[in-house]
Amino acid sequence: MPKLSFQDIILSLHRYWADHGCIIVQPYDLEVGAGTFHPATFLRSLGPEPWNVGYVQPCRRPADGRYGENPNRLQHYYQYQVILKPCPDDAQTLYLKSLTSLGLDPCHHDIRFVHDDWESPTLGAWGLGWEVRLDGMEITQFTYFQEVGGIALDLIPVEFTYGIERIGMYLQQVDSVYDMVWSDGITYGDIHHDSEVQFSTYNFDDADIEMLTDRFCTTERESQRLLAKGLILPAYDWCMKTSHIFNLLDARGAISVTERVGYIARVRALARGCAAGYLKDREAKNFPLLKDNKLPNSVPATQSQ
Amino acid sequence: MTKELLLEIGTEELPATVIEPVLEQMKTGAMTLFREQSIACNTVRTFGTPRRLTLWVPELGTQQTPTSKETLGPPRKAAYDENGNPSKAAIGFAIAQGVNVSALIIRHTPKGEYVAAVKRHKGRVTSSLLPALLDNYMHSLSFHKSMRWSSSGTRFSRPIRWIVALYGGRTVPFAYAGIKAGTTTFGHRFMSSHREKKALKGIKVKDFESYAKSLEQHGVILDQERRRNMIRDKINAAASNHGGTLEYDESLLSEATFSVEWPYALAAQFDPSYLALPNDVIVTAMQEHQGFFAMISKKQTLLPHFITVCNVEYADMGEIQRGNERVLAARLADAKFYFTEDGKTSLEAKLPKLHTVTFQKHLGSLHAKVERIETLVMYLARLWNPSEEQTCRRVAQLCKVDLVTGMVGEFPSLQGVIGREYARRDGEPESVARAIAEHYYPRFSGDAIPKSLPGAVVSIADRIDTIAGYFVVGCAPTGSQDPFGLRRQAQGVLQIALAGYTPLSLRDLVERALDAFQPTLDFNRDKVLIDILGFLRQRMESTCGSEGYRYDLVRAVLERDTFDDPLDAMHRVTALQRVASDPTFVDLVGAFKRVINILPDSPPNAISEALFSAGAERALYAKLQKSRSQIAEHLASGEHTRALSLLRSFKEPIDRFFLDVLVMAEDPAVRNNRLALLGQLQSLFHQYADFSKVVIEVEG
Repeated sequence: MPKLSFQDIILSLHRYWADHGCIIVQPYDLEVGAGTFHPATFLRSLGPEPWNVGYVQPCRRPADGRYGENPNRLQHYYQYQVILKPCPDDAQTLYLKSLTSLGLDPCHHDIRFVHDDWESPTLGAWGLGWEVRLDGMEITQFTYFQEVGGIALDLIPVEFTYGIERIGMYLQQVDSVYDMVWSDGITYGDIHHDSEVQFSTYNFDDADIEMLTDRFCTTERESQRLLAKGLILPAYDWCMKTSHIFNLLDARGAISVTERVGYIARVRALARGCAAGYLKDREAKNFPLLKDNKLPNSVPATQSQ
Repeated sequence: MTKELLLEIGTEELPATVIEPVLEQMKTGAMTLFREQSIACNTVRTFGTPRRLTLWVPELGTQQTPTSKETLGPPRKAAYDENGNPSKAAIGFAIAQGVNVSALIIRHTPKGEYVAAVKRHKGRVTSSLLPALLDNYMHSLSFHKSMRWSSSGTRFSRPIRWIVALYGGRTVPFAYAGIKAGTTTFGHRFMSSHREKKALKGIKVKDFESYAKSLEQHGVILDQERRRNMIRDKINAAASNHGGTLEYDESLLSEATFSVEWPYALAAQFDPSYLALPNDVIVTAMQEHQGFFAMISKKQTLLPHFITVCNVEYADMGEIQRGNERVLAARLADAKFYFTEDGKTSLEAKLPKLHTVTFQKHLGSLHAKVERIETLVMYLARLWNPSEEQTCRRVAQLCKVDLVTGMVGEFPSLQGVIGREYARRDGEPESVARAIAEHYYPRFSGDAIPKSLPGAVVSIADRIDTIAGYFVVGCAPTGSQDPFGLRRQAQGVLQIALAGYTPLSLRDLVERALDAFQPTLDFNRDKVLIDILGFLRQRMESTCGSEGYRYDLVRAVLERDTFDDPLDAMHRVTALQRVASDPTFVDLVGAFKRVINILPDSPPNAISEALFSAGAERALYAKLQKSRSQIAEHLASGEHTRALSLLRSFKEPIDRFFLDVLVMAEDPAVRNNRLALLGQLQSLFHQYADFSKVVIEVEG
């Protein structure tokens, strides 16, 4: 089997999850730290409406930048995110088959489900599950959400977050992410190396602390204002922006360990407000996806083992 | 008659650390359950892998043993008249108990004769009880963290996917978490399907023997102790193939045991050039992150080999081996990058960077903290060993610098260790390097304390500064809330002091710590000082208590305003405990309490010998005069037992005094003189402890 390019991995996962009843949506157009922030995960996990979705989400983690010098660390990378709600009984089997679709036969590798208690303090969310390891390497975060935006979930979603750079490096047997083939003749480095260097410089050395500190308060206020008006989706946009500004300030070393907790609590308060507002809004609308059953049929439960 | 019970809870992968505790719960839970239900069971065994928890009771009674329960009723006299006819009371009791009045019996009790009702239960058939019992049993299993996954709302550590429940070969009809118990189990997730596809449909189970056997054929070693031994043998064999041995913690072996169903020890390697890294870094990268076993040579040096325990065994393990090697290589490459980067400047040159790290919003940067530590360290070093003053000072300056290195950013658990390694690289004296790592000890209750004096000095100074600082800014622990871990910090100070660091005045030390905050922060110094000393005293009480000392004795020693030196206090408590149950000591405490009871809150203190009239008075006064300096000397020289026996010799004179002398004499001058004498006696005793807090147990 020819080695999959980076874009082949994305296309294969799209195909696989579309075939298994997922809506394929597009990345959210704001800076986020993880695919979980996308409203297609954060908001849609709430309430009793079924929801099966797959998408790529570009993620920004300013503190993880290494000026393009470290072969495994990036301040901007991609996650392939899948939400199956409610979680099917054969979630693990479905997940393992998705690896097969990438040419990774689980019966030739040592695939392990290593326990991981996932928590996002900024989103007020937690769940239990695993980091999935392929021959010792973490390739996926596999989580049964329990609480999102501080709200205990009735219908438990399962989240698969694939680290697609790692999977690509493994499949292509390269030691540096920058050497990974994106598509014929083009590497990941061709596309992203410059931005890694420039953004690392910006994030660590050049971001204007005073401006960002001000902006944190401004975006926070805007989110609060919109929440009060019941404009939940725009309020959530500003919550995401607030979160990203916090990440920038954090990477810049402008926030002490003790202050950190306070900043995170402020973002979390916005996220909680959005979650509660969203749920209220959906309820007022009688949970449309529940009634009209417009979604593709939920993932068929195959034999549980 | 007995039959075999087999219960298997099939799950998605359980965390390695929860399996052992839940197996223990399952075992004791089953024994309790069957005992309470009066169902005979001899042996209960439990087995667990990441994907199954199994209960096996080879011989479980088929029927509850008949029981009888006896309830006492009214006294015999009230139950029957002189002709032996039952009274209303007896009839009422029999009705309430649901027995015939003629069936009431008589019981002799220490309080006399009573009637009693005996209710007999002939016992139900086990198979009819099991569905409800197993449901309750599964419900009773608890986890530190649990989750929901289905509409049933059931909580478990991870989702339950199947249940096998067989009693005497028949299915126990019950459902849990929406899953019907049956007779089908599943083998290894990968090994089983690798061998034959039909294994995916499950394996029929008849009894435990066939169950364990089929599982093994399908890639599952059920018995955890067997798996543990297999892993131990396999990793040792793999290590000796490479001319090495393994050095590991049992917890690493346990983690491996409960992470796999089919263990395979795979030897792999890393580029020997990484051996230039500090060994602790390599071992941490292997153990903490990957659960790999590090290999060492006969010369006790790290080898460029490691062992990983896989959950599968295939003919070709090459790809798996390379995968694991690449993961470690990436981590070691990171470490090497930081090691080189960090090495471009010395620790000393990095010191100013601590200005940029905030310790606490109001308490300033880590640099400011280091300066404060340095001041306290100088004080302690002068106190304990002036010749090590310079070493201590150097350790104080460098102890936090590794926090701004890339390596500690990457491996936070190596704080201190990295400081030590970098200090060595910088050519700092070995005593300085070692103490940098030591100053974080003890990291938790029961951990080792710093081996060297500089390590101990800096550890105490660091902790006292943290405690004082948080109290100053109003972040003292309250109730069960201790967000900054100050109790642990205090425990650390005491643990070190108790290991032999004396003399130590906690009051002096805290005063000096507070001096450092005085210029920049506005706080109520007197109150903060009292609060901190009270907090330290409480910690000391709990330390003594947890070491098995009597709480009343601990309080007697600590709850005076003079508690100051932890080791001295501990010696006092120890000496006290040694004599505490001695009858003469108990009498002494009784005598002392008489003194306390008669004394007003602030007794007069002027004594005039001329006013003494009785011999007992003079004798007590003379003894007091003589003993005062002796007690002080004994206490100062650490001879607590001698001080205590001197105090014990006061028993006679005190008794004599109370026998011969009327304290509350009519003449106020005489009265006050006597009270003053007793007041001085109280002060004398107080030099050792507040004996009024000692609890005297009254026999009987």
